[in-house]
Amino acid sequence: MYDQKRQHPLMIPLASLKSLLIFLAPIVLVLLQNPGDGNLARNLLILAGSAVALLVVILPLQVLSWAFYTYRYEAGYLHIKSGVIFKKERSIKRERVQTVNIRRGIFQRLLGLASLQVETAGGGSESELSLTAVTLEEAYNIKESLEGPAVENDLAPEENAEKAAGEIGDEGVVREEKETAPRAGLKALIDTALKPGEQTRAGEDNQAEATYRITIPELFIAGATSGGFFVLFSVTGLIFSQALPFIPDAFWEHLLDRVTSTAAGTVVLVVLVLLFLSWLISSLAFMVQYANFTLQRRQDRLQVTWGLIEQKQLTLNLNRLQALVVHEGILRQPFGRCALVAEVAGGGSREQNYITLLFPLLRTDELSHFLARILPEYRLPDTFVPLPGRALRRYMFRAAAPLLLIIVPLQWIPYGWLSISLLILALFWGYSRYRAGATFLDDKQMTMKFRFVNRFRVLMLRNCIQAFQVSANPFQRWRDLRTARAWVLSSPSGKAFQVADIDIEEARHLWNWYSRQK
Amino acid sequence: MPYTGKIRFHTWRRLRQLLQGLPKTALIIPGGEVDREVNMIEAEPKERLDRRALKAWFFSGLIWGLILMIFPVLYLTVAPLFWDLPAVYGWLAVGLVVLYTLWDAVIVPRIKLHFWRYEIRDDEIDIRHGVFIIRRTLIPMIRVQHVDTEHGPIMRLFGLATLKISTAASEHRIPALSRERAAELRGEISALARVSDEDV
Repeated sequence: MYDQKRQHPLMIPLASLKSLLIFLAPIVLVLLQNPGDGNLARNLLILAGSAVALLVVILPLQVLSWAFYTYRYEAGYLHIKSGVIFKKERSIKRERVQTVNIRRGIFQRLLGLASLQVETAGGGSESELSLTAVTLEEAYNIKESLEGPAVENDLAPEENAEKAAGEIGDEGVVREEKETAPRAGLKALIDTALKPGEQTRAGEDNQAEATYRITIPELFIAGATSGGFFVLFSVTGLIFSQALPFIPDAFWEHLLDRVTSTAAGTVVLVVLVLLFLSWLISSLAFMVQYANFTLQRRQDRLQVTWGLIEQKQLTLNLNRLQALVVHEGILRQPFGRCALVAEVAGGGSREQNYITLLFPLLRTDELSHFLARILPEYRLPDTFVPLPGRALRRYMFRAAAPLLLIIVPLQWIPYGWLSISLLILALFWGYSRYRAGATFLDDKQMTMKFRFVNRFRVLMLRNCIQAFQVSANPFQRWRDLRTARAWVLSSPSGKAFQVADIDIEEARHLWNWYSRQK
Repeated sequence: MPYTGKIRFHTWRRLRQLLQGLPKTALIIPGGEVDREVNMIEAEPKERLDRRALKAWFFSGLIWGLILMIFPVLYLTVAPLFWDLPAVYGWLAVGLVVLYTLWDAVIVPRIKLHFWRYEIRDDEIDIRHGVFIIRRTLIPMIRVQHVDTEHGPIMRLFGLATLKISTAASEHRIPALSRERAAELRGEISALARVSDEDV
């Protein structure tokens, strides 16, 4: 355990392939633009030639960086040495480790490998340690040495991951399960032989205290209501505009004659079809991305696993959890569904916009039950202290005032009066924001409820709130209203949550609750 | 006083209260207790900023005003050489800049100084500040990550410094303290924060 280790040698072809693809992409683009009279053989030759030339450069570099990247873990420390010319050494202390992420892309799964990222507090956006290819077993060993409370613990996650992977039914993973199963069995045997008492305790500890796994229908609803199609719509629109010249006129004529009678109708139909397509694609993409989403609670850790093609796993120590956010998307609210998101210190990654999804879709009415099982530290209040009635007009004003700046000049334009209907929409929006605003205090927990478009409920423990602020402008002071704002730690930097126009009495209540001054 | 729902009947009293709340130096309102006014929450923090802040802010406001003045002056002097532009707009802009500078360098500093309060207690830092929106901020000592003092050239000229208090998630400033006071507070807070750390 104390010797310098290298990553799996398969990292060399994997990493080379990856950088080769990156370098080849522009060449392919250039070739597509100058096809050279469609001479396929010539193009392929150029491609192959440049690939070989690139490999000649890349491969030795990768071999070197593989050879010079060594790591070693011993009690409580992970030491890394890297660099061919400029040597870099780094030691990561176990206590400083925030997350250990294990990911498996499709190639890695076929080869029985995994990539591993270790992140520490305040490490910036870049991972402190990033191993691209280690055996799955080694990945779990490292993870356990950095994260696990005891050595014997490293059995269960492994088995579990194996199980989870096996259920997906991927060939590569099943094979691997067979390979590692005897090892795990042997280890268990040794463990029981050495410390029988310990083992039963460890066995109990390793039992997931609660496990939630998303069902296929729920996953579908989650995908369908994720709202991702708004973004995708612009992409499909772009593709469609590029494909337009290739659609035969006969198709349009047929469409115009038989299906829609007017040109406007055709346009509407096309837009609808595109919308539907983007909705379908985004739903499917979501389903693939978050397939088999599983959330497990074991002792003081949460373990999240998800993904069909690329499997991801995230272990979250509860002391890193800063706030819990119940996120009710506007599209999900009619279905009574919500998502559960965590604000995590030093967690999340850039690809995920630093958001740590705890569960993609839950029935809102089962939320408190869910929390009681998975995160009993947090409690979802049944009742809230609503905003006082006199806050309504402030919410209405805030929603309508910016719109008035547009609507008033529009009155000089023909049909400009139609814009007044927007005002009704804005007032309705203001009203629903007013309705959503609320706070609630528990013994240890402050809960804020508010809406921008989506509705949020933010559950914050007192010792996770970094600072608290009550503010008021003259109009709020006039009406005895206050705005409460709480900061929590969240990567990449802090986050503030606020509820506007709460009653001064409630503000006082929150303030006194947070103040250490008794 | 809890809200009773009969705001209309108190309107005049409240208006008076509100006006009393404004600094006497900024607007001429005779009489009135200055400290009852904002009443964000009870137990307002006690300590104030250094009065030299007025000078420093006046100075920096003046500099900003001079920088802004460059544009209308250019409009009035250089632009007519090339284009035929009505001078009225130039003078209008000069007027606006003067008004803005007056507001920014004379009135705002007074309001700011009037409302600025802070208090360092054993276990928390209490800050009240604002011009239009008054904010009361509470930072527990255990959440303080580090404290810095900083001062720019103007602040240095008047012997002032800004105390910057950072938590893991937010940053708070107490501007325009005398330099000695800022250093003293920095030491005090970091000592208190360290003690609190041990409690966790």
